[in-house]
Amino acid sequence: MGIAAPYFVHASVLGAEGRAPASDRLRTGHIGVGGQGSGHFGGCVGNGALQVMAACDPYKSKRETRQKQANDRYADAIGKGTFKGCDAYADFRELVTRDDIDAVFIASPEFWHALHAVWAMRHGKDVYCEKAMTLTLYESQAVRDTVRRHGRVYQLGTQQRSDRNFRFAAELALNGYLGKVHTVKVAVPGGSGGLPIAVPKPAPPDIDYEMWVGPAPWKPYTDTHCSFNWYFIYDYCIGWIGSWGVHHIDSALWGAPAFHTGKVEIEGTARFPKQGMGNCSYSWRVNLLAENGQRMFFTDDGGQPHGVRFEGDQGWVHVVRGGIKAEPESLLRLALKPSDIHLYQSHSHHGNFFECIRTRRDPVSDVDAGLRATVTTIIADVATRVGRKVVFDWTAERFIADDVANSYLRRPMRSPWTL
Amino acid sequence: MNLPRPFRPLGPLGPFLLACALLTRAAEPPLTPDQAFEQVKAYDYGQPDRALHFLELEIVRAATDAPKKAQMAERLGAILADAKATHAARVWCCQQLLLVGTEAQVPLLVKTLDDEKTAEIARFTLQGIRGEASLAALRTCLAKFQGMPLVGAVNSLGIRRDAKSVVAIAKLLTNSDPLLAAAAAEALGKIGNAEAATALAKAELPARQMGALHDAQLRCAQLLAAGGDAANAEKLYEQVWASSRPVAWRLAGLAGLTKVSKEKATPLVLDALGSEDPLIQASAVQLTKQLPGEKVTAALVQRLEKLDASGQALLLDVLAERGDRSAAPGVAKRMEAKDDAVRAAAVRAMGNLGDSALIHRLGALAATERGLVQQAARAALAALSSKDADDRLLAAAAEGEAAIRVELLRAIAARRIASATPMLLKSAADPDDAIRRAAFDALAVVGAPECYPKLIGLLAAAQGDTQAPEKAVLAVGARLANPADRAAPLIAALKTASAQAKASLLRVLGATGGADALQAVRACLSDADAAVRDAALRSLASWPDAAPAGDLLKLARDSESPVHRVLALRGYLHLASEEKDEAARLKMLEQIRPIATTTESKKLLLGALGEAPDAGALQVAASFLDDAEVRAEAAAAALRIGQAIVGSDRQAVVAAMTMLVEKCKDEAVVKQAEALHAQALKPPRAGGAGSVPDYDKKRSDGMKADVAKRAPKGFQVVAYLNCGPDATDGEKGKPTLRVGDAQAYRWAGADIRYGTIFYTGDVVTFEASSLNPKKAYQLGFSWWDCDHDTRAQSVWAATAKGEKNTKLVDKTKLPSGQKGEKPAEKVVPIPQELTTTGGVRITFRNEAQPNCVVSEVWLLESEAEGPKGEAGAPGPQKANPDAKKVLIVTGVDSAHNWKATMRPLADLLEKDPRLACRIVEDPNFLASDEINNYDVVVIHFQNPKPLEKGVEGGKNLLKFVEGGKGVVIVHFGCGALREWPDFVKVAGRVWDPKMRAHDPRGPFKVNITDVKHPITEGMTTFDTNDELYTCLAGDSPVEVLAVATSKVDKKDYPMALVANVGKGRSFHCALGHDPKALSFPGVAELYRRGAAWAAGLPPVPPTK
Repeated sequence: MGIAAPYFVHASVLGAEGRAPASDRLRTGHIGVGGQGSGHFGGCVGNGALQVMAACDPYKSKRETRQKQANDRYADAIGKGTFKGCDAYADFRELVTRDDIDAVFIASPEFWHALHAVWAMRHGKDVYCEKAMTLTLYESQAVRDTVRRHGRVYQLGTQQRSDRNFRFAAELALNGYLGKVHTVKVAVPGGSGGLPIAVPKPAPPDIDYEMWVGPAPWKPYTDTHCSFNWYFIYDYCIGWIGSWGVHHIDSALWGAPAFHTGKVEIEGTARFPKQGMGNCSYSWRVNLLAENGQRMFFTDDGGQPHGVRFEGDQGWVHVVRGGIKAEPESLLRLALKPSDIHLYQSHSHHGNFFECIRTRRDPVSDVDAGLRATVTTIIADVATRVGRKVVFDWTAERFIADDVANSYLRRPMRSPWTL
Repeated sequence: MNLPRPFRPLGPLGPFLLACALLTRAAEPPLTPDQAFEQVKAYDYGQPDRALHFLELEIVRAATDAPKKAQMAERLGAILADAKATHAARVWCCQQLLLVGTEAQVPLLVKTLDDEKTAEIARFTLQGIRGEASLAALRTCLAKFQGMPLVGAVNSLGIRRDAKSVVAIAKLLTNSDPLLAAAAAEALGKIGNAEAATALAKAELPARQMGALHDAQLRCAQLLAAGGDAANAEKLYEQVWASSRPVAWRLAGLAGLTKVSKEKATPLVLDALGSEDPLIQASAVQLTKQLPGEKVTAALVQRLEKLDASGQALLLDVLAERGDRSAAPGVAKRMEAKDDAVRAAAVRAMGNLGDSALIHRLGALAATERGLVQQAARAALAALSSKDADDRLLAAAAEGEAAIRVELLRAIAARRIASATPMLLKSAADPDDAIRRAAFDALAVVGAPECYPKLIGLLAAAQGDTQAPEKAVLAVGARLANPADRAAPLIAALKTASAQAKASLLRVLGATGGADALQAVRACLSDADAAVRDAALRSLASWPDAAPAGDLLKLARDSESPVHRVLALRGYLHLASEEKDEAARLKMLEQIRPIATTTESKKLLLGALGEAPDAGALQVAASFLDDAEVRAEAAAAALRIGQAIVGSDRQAVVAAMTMLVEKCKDEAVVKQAEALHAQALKPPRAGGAGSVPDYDKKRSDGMKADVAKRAPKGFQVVAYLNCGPDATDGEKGKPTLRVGDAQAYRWAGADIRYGTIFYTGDVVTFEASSLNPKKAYQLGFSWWDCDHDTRAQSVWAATAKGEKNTKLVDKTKLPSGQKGEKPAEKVVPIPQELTTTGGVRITFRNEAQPNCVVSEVWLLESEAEGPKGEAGAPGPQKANPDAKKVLIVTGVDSAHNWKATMRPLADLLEKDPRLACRIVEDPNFLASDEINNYDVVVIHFQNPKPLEKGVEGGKNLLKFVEGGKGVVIVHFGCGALREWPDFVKVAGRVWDPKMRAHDPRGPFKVNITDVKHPITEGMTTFDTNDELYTCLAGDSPVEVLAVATSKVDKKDYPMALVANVGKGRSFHCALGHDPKALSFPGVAELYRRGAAWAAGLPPVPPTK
């Protein structure tokens, strides 16, 4: 009897069908299977070490498409043994309360992330959740506390942590290879500059609209908000300042932890649509100042070059997906010393998650890192909304002496939902 | 701490930011808070929502102090209490109250609690309002509410952690509604006092609600522990661990217990280590991290015995992480294990747990093992942390078995031992090849700059493989404080070096670069030794910059050795491919054309072109298509480059592929070229923001110069913005153009000129400032519906303050990239009543879907100071205030290049100083009242599809002419406004598509008919080269002034005719297919006199 079986098996022991014996497979459930979720679903169905048990989505067409995809793949196994095929649900509670699912992939709109993750974890599931971690700071705290309280493995979909270039850039910054790092520059796409004024209509039969709206303030169905556009509507997301921003901010914080330590001053401006359904900023310029004097300039791509850039008094490194540049260029060929800080190495975001399910370690994008990155984008957004300088205290996880700003950090939920 | 200005100017976008701050006003007048609050009341879903957007920011920004905050909250409360307000408005008000509401709103919210429709949102808002009053109100809900609203109230009280509600909520644990029971458990968990713990400990919930109870018990325990009540916390944790819940759930109890009582947890965790269940085992292993001390370490080591291989490996990792050296003996034993994974884990762990005594053993393992164990041994050597490890390693690496020494040298590099240089220099002279190589490799990593000359000496003396020493010299050289110092010692060594050493030194010089080095390498080109000459040439070919380009070009042409010619050519092409500047690269490539005389060199050139694919390289490749010797290679190169750049430079690809299809016979090539051609024409992929390139002055100036070429006569371009990258343009104090309300974007794959845009959902604004009130201005712009076929926009101008908003261009559909249409360019006058105020705001307005886009904008200024109020000022030398104003209307033609003919036409008319022309590139302009400011309208367009305002424009034109003005119909203008049946009344004769169109283009004579008419009086037969129109129809009375005889049917056809229209005059001329046709003196004369007559002037005899 070994300590390592049966959660994760190497490809070498997979059977003729490229699949591990049923008893050894890690069983996954998937909440939110359109868009990004369909990618996770397909990846898991194609992975012989896994068994995809269920797909959940308020859209009938989406969940049934995925169900069919899984059942086509498992055609030979259905009905043999206990496996009855992949199930499909509109209500995630039916999925998370099953006791034959080990891990849950979450790719719902952001205002659902916290509930989906917390429910899955309090039912003993490990969680891979798409970014951003949550809609509000309070929800991020709820997720973090649930991970710790239940000893779950939680991987946030900030997959740049499994990209060597981002890790290396952070290591250069952390280990003094750039000299004293004084400035960090972060720029991401701004997202949609506006959405039309959408006319309500009856929800089509394909969607379980109650399960779509969930904890958000209720409003009548429109085609506009029940689509990709939720990214730009404040009830569901804070815009790409958060949803895209969290990727690069996470990478920036990895190399400049001062921005999630002690007190941080934040000041910024942003442009918001003046009408229509969208009400999230699409262009912003935010300055952050850490206690150690480091500054961060966080903007949309219109403000400065896209990516994450650490600038020190002896050099800089600029990293984007698929590319890294540095000055002096020789930094890129540098190998770290044993005494240097070596950051968590992961080469596959999914793989790291599965590995950690086996070992019960924290994955590379753990819940603390996820909270810091998500909250940094949230407080940046709040600073642009209140339009004044705010100071965030990371120890208390609150703004100092600003009731209005603090009110943004938590939103009540519609019954019966709560966290 | 002080923050800098919130907006740090960032590169060229500084002005953009400034503009953003200045020009956030939309075209519509800004709302006042009073108006906005009024509008909110009536707001409903799907209705205009500007007021909401406005107030969402206004409210929080006004709430900087308590009185203002209270005032805002009061206004929101008033709407909430207003029975006439919509539900949507009330929900919105509640959301805002969550930000600024205070206890003052509680009484109001309590009232709304009683209304079923608003109960939920009132509860929701009360939850967020601080203070006892809101809490008390929420408590009343427990008695008042049922069902879902009651669940909400319980949730709210839980979030508020209201200890006073515990008893009431605990009663709900047994409620028959499972949702309510679960909510009660959850709330009690959050409140988390001893009373709640008691209730939770004995609660039983249905299976589906067990998750809520489980979480509540754990949360309650956590809160109790945090509050110092460890005893009750322990009890709850133990209850969870001992429960019959699934293992994954129960483990949370063990983890909690480990936090609150190490004493109680230790035996349980050690016991769990021995569990059969892998999940329990793995979790226990992780929990041991929280249980320090040798006792647990010993238990873990003991546990090692009982595990299988993969379990041992995992536990060894954990022991390494614990860092407790008491584990070392037990771990060291596993270094002998049979399983490689276990051995590797043990070896790796010893890097953390062991000391310098292990150096030799680890070195031996690294030298003799392969795979996992070797990697682990190397990692352990690098990780050993005892203080004397570096010194012991240096000593060990200096003697002993060669293979082990090699590994230890490698470890020296990995550990970056700075003091290693002297020892490494010694080893670099060792008789053993492998040791020498390892020493040089280590020197490349840690060699101090001071050893540079010595290292060069070693290189000069090196025997056999010189790769490692060369690398070391380069690496150490790169660490010199002054890069200029790198070359001198190399050049000095060159003087006395052997031929073989010279080759090495030349290679290093080739990577070093610099003027002195270049001179030294050049000198070696004529060295007596062939190998040295060869090395010198190769050195030049790999030079870091383009400095030796001239040398290589010369060698490629003149070298006696064919091999060297090829090498030089290849080197030259390599340097060209490294050149970043496109124009410079193209120049370099073009220089090689005359040298590429042999088939081989041509092939070489064509082969190398693909290394830096761009439009220039494509052009060079295509230029070889006429060369039969290398046509196939040229085609292959063109296809390869085309593939590479089709995403970035579509126009170049279209042009080259057209040539390829024309000139290549090879079917496969033609097929590929056609496919690429089609791909280049395809609309760029929608969605997915391409990145907007940075502002580039050179690039924008080029585009500015291009639009300046087409500027209307008498006007010059004073400011130009390539939307997206450019935010502002214009000299200080001179007319300046700046973007206002807009966001930058680039359609993925589209070109920079039209594919980068400014856009927003409603309006894109620009501000023109510092205008000269005495001059006239025109606005030029281009737009394109790249990724849709839906966009339509109008253009407006107002003063800088937003007054006198005037429409410049009516709602116009944009050309669709989806349908393969090209971007449209327009120039329109800006009314002088606006420009006289010094500043103008230009607004592009979205008139359809999905949003408003602009590709380019430029501002044109008249050269002369025009008469006040006159929109178009004539050219400077003709500032004739009494001139008759001629409006040339153009902008569309299904068969002619109107852009090429409009200027020549205006020029030839203005040869008569009594005529002043203005061009408007928008046929819909005919519908505007502004045409009445002119004396003659020239129809120089032909619209294939009905114009949006065709009929309206036609009627307006007819009224204009009938009222006493003039009209001139030019060539295919006879086919304009076909949607309007009365066009024949204006034109006299119109195009009949059923008739034969015209003779083939060619020379013919135009004969003046015998009619006595002021236009043709004194004119005689003249020559031209044109299309002889044979397609004019109509039966209204006209006078034909000139005819020509068709070569096809020998019949005479009218070339010029006049008609009276009401009180006005119509002159219609069929000539003028293109600039060449207009250039014949007779044609020009005829038009000039015709236009003068139409303007009511006596035609004058031919001038000059």
